[in-house]
Amino acid sequence: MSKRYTQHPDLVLTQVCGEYLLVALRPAFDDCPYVNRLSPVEADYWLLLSEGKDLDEIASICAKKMNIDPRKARLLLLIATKKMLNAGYLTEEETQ
Amino acid sequence: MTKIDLLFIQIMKSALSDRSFELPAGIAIRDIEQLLQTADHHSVLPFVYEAIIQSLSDLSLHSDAIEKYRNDAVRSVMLQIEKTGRFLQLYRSLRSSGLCPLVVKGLFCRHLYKRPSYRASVDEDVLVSSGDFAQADRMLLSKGLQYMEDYRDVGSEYEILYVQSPEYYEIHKSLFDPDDQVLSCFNRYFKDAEKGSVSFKVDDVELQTLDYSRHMLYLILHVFKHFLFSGFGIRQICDITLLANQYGKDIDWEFVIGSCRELHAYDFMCAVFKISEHYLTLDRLGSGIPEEILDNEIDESTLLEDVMNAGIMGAGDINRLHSSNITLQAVRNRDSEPSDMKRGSSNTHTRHRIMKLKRLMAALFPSYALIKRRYAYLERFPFLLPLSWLQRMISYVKDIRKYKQDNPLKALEIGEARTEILRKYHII
Repeated sequence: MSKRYTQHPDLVLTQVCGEYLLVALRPAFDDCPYVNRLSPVEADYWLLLSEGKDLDEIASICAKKMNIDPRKARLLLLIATKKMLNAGYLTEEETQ
Repeated sequence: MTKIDLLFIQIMKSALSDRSFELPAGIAIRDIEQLLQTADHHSVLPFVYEAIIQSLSDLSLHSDAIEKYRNDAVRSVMLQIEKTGRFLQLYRSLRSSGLCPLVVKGLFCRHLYKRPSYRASVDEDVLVSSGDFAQADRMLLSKGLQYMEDYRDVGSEYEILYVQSPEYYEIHKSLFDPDDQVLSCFNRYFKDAEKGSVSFKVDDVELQTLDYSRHMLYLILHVFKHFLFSGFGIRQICDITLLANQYGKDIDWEFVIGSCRELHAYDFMCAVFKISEHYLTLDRLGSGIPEEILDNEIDESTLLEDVMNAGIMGAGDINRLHSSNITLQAVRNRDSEPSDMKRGSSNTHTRHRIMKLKRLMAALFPSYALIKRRYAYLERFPFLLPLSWLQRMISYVKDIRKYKQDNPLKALEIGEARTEILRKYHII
């Protein structure tokens, strides 16, 4: 069994003065913080998730971009996933 | 104006079009820090930083102070996003209870910008009819908001400030103080404001606001009010510029012009729009502004200099704030002030000195009507007026010490200098 993550549809990723922010639109106000900073890794993760890529693919891309071991990249993404689940940005479902 | 002031205005012009600005080669880090401090002063730091961020990187301009300003800019935007979100929730509650409050300034002005959350608001201003106020008050208190001040009788106040951190809401029954000798007459242009109201959308929430003609007049009179007090910043002119560009064709300019003439604000208004055209992004054709305004011979440079020195809402420095006692007194006595044309005669010179002395005395010893709001005990014990004067003077001395001001008379000097500016624009 593996996990699949679905992004909340009413969130917008934007950049302000070089910083990534994830901003909730009005329908998401009850589910998520109004706004949160994302690190560059988290921002990349969010964008790649929106393209339909899974965790392993994203880890591979991030590892190449940051020139780090793929296992370390995966660990960073798991931390990011937990943060986003807690914030209501992602929902998780088990898949076969 | 300094070279930094001029650079700042050029950057703001780019920012209003959401364009990057290329900094001049060889610019010193110290100048960048001063530029960002000016932007912070005028409450437009995110706009300026965003406009120059690429250039800072290209020119490798970094310092701890610049990084601090960047963080401040980001925090300002994040705070504004949260405040807007909270206000939208609150507004929906007010509407669903059958009320139709009008949003003025704040969120309405913000939606004119390409990056709305970059335009910070300390509070959100909402206009309700006197008949709806009690219901609005109950609704806000039921949502956990609290009064900012200890109001003796909420029902008799013309504006109430509520707080629910980090948000502040100002609920108005009238847009200007109906008891103020100078400002009360401004209200007559906004009677039955809800009848011609228009809607605008933020996110998926539909909000109501003044019609565009009255909103333009309100923005002009609002900055005019601050100009009479201690000044206002560049951001207010940006608001007026964008409103004119986007809704100018729907504005009844004759109404705006006529109202300003009646209130001795015509030359001031012309100077504002001339700054808007010459230094910012006002579109003469697109806005439909009458040529008589933009081709007026009034010199706008004095006003621009005052704006640059003032900072947001004239809070440039503590002396400037205190100088409002002098300027307001000049406006109250406008009919007694010697005019520019008669300045040459010795009789008028004497009158001028007498008026100057009267302003000083009025600033030091204001009337009961002017000071009673600040010292609540005067309502019950009006004979304690001399005590309130003493309290006020002690408060002033404390401010002077707190802000390390060397010259205790500087507020008076600024007040007199600004009174001359009022005279230049035929306000007095």
